[in-house]
Amino acid sequence: MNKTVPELVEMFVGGDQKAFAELVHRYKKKLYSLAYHILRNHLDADEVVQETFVRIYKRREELLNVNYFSTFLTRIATNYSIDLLRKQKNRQAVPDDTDTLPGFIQLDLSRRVATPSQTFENKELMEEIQRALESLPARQQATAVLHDIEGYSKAEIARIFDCPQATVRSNLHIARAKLRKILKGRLIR
Amino acid sequence: MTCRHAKSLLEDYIDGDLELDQSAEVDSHLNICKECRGEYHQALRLKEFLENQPIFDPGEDYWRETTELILARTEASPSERVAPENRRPIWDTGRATLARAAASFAVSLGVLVSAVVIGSMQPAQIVDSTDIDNPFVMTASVRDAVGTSGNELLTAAESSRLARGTLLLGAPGMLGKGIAFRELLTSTK
Repeated sequence: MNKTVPELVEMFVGGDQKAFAELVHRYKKKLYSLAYHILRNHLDADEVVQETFVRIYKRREELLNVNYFSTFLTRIATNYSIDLLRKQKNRQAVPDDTDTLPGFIQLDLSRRVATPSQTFENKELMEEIQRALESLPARQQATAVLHDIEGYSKAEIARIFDCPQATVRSNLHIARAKLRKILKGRLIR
Repeated sequence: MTCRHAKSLLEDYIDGDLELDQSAEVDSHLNICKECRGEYHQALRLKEFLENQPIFDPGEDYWRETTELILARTEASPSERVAPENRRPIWDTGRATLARAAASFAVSLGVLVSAVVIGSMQPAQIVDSTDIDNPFVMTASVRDAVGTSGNELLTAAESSRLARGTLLLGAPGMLGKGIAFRELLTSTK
């Protein structure tokens, strides 16, 4: 289907199920990646993807007043992920073991060639960064994931959280400072 | 530029959010200050690790099934918004809710009264019967089992209800009585 996103959204609001299917197709992987990086486990990420699209479907008439479909979608997914993350923090959920999951595209910190010991060291440090990320408050964690892992701009994140850009910037700086403090010494080459 | 000022700008410097002249100032400070340069490299390495987080791809089967699942869930789920012409006035909604609440209350009251009446009739049937297929006899046997074992499964209030034959009628009376039933079954074999 060679339609633009605004065209698809308009068709979807008008009741076109194929347009909805195309929107699911275009955005499911992006949402999954975001949810997985916030929640660190497949089942929760899967729940976020499904629930986000079901909610979009139920609230489709609201899309007529939405400027950025992608932002609206990401907002629902991020807020739902944060809700699940807060529940996870209460029940001490165990993240997926990346060694045992098939389909994990392993760390390519490279663009440089890494020796086996560097690769091992990188993997260890990556796990430490993961734990450090998980220790942050949910909102700061989500901000760091959106900006530093998923590559959203501060302006986009401000729209997603419906807050000023200065708040995003401050949350991001606090999150990074905490991460550096937790990982002190481990980040020195 | 002081170290303090330079450190406060490091995150924005790394993100490329500074004006050209400010960026140049940080640049020159980093060239002459070893400590700030160390912090800069740590911040840069953290950013590099975050940007290179491993990606999990659950595979094409998952993507196909998830899309089908979302479409199935949404086909069965109508939009939440009700067209204005179909909306009922608020007082209608209020009246319906009140009627439902009254009906629920009446049913609950009926169940409660029946329970008390049936319960108060039980002792006469319990005492002289030995038929274990009769539920009232089970009540008596539970009483015997609990009484003869000398354990403290029952609170004073529950013992009182048991004596009146109402113990088995309500959920609170059923709680924690598994052991008594086990004893009962053992004693009737």
